Amino acid sequence: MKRYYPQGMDPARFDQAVKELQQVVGEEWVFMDADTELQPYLDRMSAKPIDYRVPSIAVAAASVEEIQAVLTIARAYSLPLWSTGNGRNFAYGGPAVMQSGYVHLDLKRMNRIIEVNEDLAYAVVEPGVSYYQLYQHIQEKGYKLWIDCAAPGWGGLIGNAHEHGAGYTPYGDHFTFQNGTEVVLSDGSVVRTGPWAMNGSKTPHIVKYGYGPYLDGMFTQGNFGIITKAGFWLMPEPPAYKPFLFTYERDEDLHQIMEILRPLKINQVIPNSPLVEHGRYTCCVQANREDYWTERTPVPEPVWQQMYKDFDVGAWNVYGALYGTDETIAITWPMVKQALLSIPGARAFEQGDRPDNDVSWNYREKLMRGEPNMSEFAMVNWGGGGHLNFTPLTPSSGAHATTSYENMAKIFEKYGFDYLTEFVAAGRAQIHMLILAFDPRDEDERQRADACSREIILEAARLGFGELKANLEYMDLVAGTYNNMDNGLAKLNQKLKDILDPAGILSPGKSGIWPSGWPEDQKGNPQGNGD
Amino acid sequence: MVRPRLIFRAWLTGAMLLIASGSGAGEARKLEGAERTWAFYCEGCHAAGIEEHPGTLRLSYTRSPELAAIRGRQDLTPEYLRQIVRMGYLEMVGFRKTEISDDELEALIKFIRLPVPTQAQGEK
Repeated sequence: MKRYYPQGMDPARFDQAVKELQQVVGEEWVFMDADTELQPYLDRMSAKPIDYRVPSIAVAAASVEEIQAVLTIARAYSLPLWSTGNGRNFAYGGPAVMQSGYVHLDLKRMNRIIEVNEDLAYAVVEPGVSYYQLYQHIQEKGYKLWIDCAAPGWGGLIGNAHEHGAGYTPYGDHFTFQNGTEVVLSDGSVVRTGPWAMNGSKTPHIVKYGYGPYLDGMFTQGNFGIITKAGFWLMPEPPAYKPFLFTYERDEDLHQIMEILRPLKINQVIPNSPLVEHGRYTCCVQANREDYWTERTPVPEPVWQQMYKDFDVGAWNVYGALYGTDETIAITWPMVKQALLSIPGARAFEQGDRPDNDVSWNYREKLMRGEPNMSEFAMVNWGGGGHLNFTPLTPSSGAHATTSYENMAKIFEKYGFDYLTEFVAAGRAQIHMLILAFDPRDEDERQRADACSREIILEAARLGFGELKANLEYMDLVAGTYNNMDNGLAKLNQKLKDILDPAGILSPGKSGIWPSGWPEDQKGNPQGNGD
Repeated sequence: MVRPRLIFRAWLTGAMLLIASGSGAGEARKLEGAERTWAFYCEGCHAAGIEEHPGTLRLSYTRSPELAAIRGRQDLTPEYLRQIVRMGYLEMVGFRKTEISDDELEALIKFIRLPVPTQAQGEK
């Protein structure tokens, strides 16, 4: 594989920078061989070829002090650093750098669980800590606390929360339950936010807002600093937990499902965010596609219907849970059940009603009480490894959900992909999750997936449904859809970027935010320069 | 009911004692570490149980149900496992040295290739 260098950098000068970086982290923690060591830093699941975004090197810092020393070198040599923590985020680019030639700053070695406070129910972790790791730690210690994890349990707390990720317990809006950020700025200075900024503070991770502007949000999905620690609230294990599933027979039931869920969710009768999952999604995580359809064309409707029958699922499947005590659940469960069964053909399932080998029930039941697993990642198998996710945000209403569902269906059909989708009924708004599964080994599929992606983003924006996240390839495109007030938001981000990172070394291009000093031809040029 | 993991731990302790008496306690510690590596990075996709584990599900189709779970498979050579873990393959991603170090990978490979305990063995 070709070796890349940071944009515009002379190889000899770069080699000198590498030597200095090796002195900081040790030679064994600077990875340079693109054919071996750098392979796991590539994204093999997006619509672009695997060698589309290749770092020049990867540097694995183990402490705040090492990050500060790396920043000193990066400023001196103008090295663009692309930092990742746990390094997952597949479907959005994985650990890949924005442009070939960037230096990947890998923080996985910073994997300490700094504190778990059982009484006040929070944890403080470094960027490399995964859900599996924190879960196991809590189990070993015997704390009566739940974590809230992403569906693939190998994800990281800091990365997921700061990428606006969601989970499945009542603490599912991960950034809402984040409390206190430690961040290293481009100039090497270290900042702690909110009450954590006070010497001797007794409340660094239990009060989100201290004195002055609330700045934590500024470090999500951005490139204004490198997060090195963060606190997260954990849910005390409730005395009672009641997962449920409702199934529905018809596509058009979506409208009524959403109308029923809105008041139940906004009024917190249902404490977590119910998943309104299309049957195609429910089936794709538990079947080999080829067992049902060996063509590369979309699976025909009669075949899907057969799968719904085989797995005993509906066209729509609503997974949720109640939490509290037996007494409180005895009050709310009849309300929930009556409301969600009011649609003709609806069926209700409780714990014990599903077969022991029901994959979807089993993994969702675990996720809704914070037990990490990887079952849902099976959707990656569906297309052949490739998958891109989209997250249009729509108001919680039957009409908006139906509009989004139907308009996106047309785009998937146009480009010839299975329409795998679900709604996360988060309250006032719902996340319309779209999974575009394809075979990345097939050039035609990759190209169609790329065109399909762009159309999804633009159509969602036309409807007023902004994306919550974006793959590296579409960051500029999505940023461009948040453009009112004469691009007011982008201009503010630019001002912040120029002030906080004047050297333009932190994750250039993240969320469409580039250093203003960079020549235009160096922005959005993933292939960079190499030999 | 005895949980499978507890059964496995009991078996592993036995296996480690055997190894400790032969090639040293260091090896035993490495295998214990390998169990952790397996739990954090592999088990979620590759544990036995075709339905719930994406890797096992996929291999049940591309290979066979008998070869779907990778633990205990002697046909997976160390060279092959080394390559797949680092480089990824089809639906599987590669793992960085910051996640699984070279030493941890070697221990993991030994662990994967160890014969899988049956429930009966575990209860002895």
